[in-house]
Formats: sequence, C-alpha cells, structure tokens
Amino acid sequence: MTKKILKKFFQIPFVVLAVVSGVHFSLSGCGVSSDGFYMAAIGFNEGRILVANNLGNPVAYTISMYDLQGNFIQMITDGSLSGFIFRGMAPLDAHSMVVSTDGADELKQLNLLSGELSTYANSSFFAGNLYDIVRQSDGVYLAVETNTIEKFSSQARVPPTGNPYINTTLGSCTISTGRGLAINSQGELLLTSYANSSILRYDISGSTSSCLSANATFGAQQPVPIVVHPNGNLYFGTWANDAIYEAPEDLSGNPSILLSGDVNINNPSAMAVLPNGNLLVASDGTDTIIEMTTAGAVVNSSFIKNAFTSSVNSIYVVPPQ
Amino acid sequence: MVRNLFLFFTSVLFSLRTLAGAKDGVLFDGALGLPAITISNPNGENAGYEGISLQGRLFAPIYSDGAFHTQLHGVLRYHDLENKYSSDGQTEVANHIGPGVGLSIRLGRLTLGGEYSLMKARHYYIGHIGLKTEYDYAVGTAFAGFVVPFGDLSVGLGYNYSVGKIKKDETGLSKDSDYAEQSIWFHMTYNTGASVGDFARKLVRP
Repeated sequence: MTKKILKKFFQIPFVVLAVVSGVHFSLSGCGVSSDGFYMAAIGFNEGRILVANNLGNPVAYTISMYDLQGNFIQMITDGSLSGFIFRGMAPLDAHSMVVSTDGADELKQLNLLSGELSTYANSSFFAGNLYDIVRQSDGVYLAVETNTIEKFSSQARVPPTGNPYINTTLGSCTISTGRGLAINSQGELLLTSYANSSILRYDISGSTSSCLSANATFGAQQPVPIVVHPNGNLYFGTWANDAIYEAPEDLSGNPSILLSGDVNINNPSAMAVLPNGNLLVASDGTDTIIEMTTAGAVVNSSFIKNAFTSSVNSIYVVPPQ
Repeated sequence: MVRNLFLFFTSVLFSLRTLAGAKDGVLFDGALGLPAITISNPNGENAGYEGISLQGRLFAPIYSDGAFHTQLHGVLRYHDLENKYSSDGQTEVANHIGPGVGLSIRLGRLTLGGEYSLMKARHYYIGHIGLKTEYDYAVGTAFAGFVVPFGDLSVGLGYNYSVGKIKKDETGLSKDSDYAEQSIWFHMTYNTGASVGDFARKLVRP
C-alpha cells in the first residue's frame, strides 16, 4: 500500500510542478528579502517634519517627529545623556538621516523608525564646531565646521588628508562662523556666514571647489538658516534684525527683506519648505516654529510649540513618498 | 435577490455542464499556503513578507472529456504576513483577504489555471508608535498543481504566482506599488459527487 502511494506521488505531474516552481524560486530567490517597511504602513505616505533642538539648560538634545500639520508624533532620539548636539539633518535613505552632531563631532546615521543612532562618518579633522549638513548626491555630504566645509563621499572624508574641501578663504568667499547650508537647482552650494554677514556661493561640481560669489549687500545682519525653494528663490533668516530675506537662488539679484519687525520672528535658527510651498521658521527667541508664505505673511504663529522647540538647530521636511 | 443570483449562476453552470456532458461533481478545496510576497516602495525598495495563507475554493465542472476537465471556481484567500525587515524593536504585520473567481483545466492529475481576486489589506506598524493603513487592490494569479485522489478525497501540492498593482489613490503614496506573490500550497480536496444542479438544490432546499 505504501509503495502504491509513493508511486502515485512520484509521477510526471509532480516532477513537472517541482521543476516549474523550483526554477521560478531559483530565479526570484528562495523566500523573500526585504529592504524595509511598506511606506504606506509607516506613515511616509503623509510626509513628516523632523525637528532637532539643542536646549542648554536643562540639557535637552532631541530629534522629534511631526506630521505635516505640525502634530507631534514622537521623539525619535535623545542625545542629552551622550552629549550629542544635533546640528543638521540630511536624508540618507527612505527611513534614515545623516545628522551632523557636535559634542561627538561626527556624522551619525539616524534610523527614523527605531531611533537608533550609529556612526556614519568620522574624521580626526573634525575639531571645531559642527553645524549644518547637506546632501549633494547619494552618499555625498557637505558639513559646516566652524570656518570650513568638510566633504564626505561614501563615508570617507574628501580629500582624505590636508585642507578641507572648502577652506576658510576661497577666492572672494570668506567663511566666518559658517551656519546654514543649501544646494540650489544648479547644484551650487550656498552658505550663510554669520560673523561677516555674507551669503557665499560655491561651485562644488568638481573634485575641488571654487567660489562663485559672495553677497553681503544686506548689511551686518548675521544670517543663520537658509533654504532653497522650488520657486527659484532662496530664503534666509538673520539674527541682528530678526528678518527673513528673499533672493534669487543663484544670487543674480541682491537679497530683499521679506518679513521683519514681526513679533513672531526672534533669532530665526532653522528653516524648511513645506510641500504646500510655505516656509517653516524656527524662532529661537520664542521657542516656536512658525509657518509663513513666500509672500511674507505669517499664517500660523505657533505651528509647533512644545518642549522640543526650544533652541531648534534644524528642521527637515520628509516629503510624502 | 441573493438567492435569485445564486440560482441564476448555478443554472448557467448546470446548463454548461449539461451541454458538455460532464461527469465530475462539485469540489471543495481547502489549502494551506506558504507565501512570499513583495510590495514595491516608491523609491524602488521592496517590502518583503512571509507568513501563512489559507484558501478555500469551490469548483464547478463545466466540461469533461476523459482525462480532460474544465472547471469554474470561486476562491476566498487569506494571508497572514510579517515583514522580513521586522526586528525586536519594530514590526510590520499585515492581513490580506479577498474573494476571486477563476478558471482551471485538469489534465489527469495536473491542474493549471488562473484567478482574478479583489483583496482588502490591512497593515500594522508597531514600534515607538503604532500605525495602521488599509487599502484594496486587484490581483491576477496563475497556478499549477497536482492532485492524488484517494476515493472522494484528494491531496495535492500547488504553486501560484500572482501580480497586481496597489493604486496610489488607495495608499496616498506618490506611485502605484507593484505586488508580487509566490506561494506553495498544500491542498485537500473533497469531491461531493453532486452535479452543480443537485448541489444547488441541496443548498437552497429546506
């Protein structure tokens, strides 16, 4: 009887099926691999706002997450005990960011879902104050370090030794307490230089950089945050006169004041662009993130205001995926 | 209304069977499956899932000639899935369920066929926070298998490959998501021996 059953199983149909399914599984891989979670399942279909803050007393160095309406979702990570001061954020992949971290003076990889922090890139040349970071292309990042800009490619410093990718003085550009970074649609790097109140523009398309222009026509107003908008303009905030400026992203025209004298803007420390085109501005003096239009109207003076909006260093908008 | 539709459907099948002179009875098929499913993200990354599937099918014969049989069937399929990317700290689980209709051909012990199903999906992400999303999608399936009869009961092994698209309007993502599934199924089939008409009459008769 057993023999009869076995004989039935090992007949041609079984062999055909085994061969077909075996070939298919072989071609597509045994089982299934997973690169990550389904974005619709983790809320990335809606977009997210990330806020990095740096409160000195009491110490609170955090990165928190919000929906695009400014509703708090969660605190992703807390670097207070480790002394990690999160200064800038740039995207790494669908669910990770590269975070420039002062205190530890390195670039860290942050998993947005688990909050796990790990070292992304380090350099013995990081010896000053690390500020903003921007992604040039996949795996290529530029970070402000006091009066220079360091470049990292595939997690390694470029160049490996010697002077930084952009030194303090390069042509007509002089960095004096660099703060905010942005890249315009032409791929040019823009930097706010706080102490000499300049917007510096660099060509970063090659293995060496060059200065394209330096603009200080707006006076000694101490610029800090800067963003490039899809409308072709750049926007930056200044501390001396608590203003928001607008200029063509290639600095072909001089910056002009978009908003000043508004009680909601007091030491603008971080900026970002929402998917609806409005600007988010962190106001350090009021511990608030406001929403304003590119026409200069404040549409929400308390877009986000909570324990994690004191001394905001960076805002990053993860667009709907 | 439902009863009328049911009678209409079964009478159509009965007519087909009568025309064809088929001899097979209505079949129940229950199966336990091992699915391997991938869903594409807008950035090109794949979310991969494994788990367990259950499936019930009701076959109605429409044509038989010797070892050649053609059957229409309805199917209800359920997937219980976990994303392979899950870890102790964060997990994504999903349930997909939905009905479908199909057509199959049986040549001796080898079965081939296709199905079209409308599925409802629910995904849960559990990490620092909990999130839930739901969406519907349609999927086309090609399957092959073999059965070994033991009287009215048969056991079998099957393989299916399904593809579909999860529309961006359903998920809110920026692109449609490609759905692909491969499953191995272990089948147990019961032949009622009743024609479609007899089977329908037994169901509706008090």
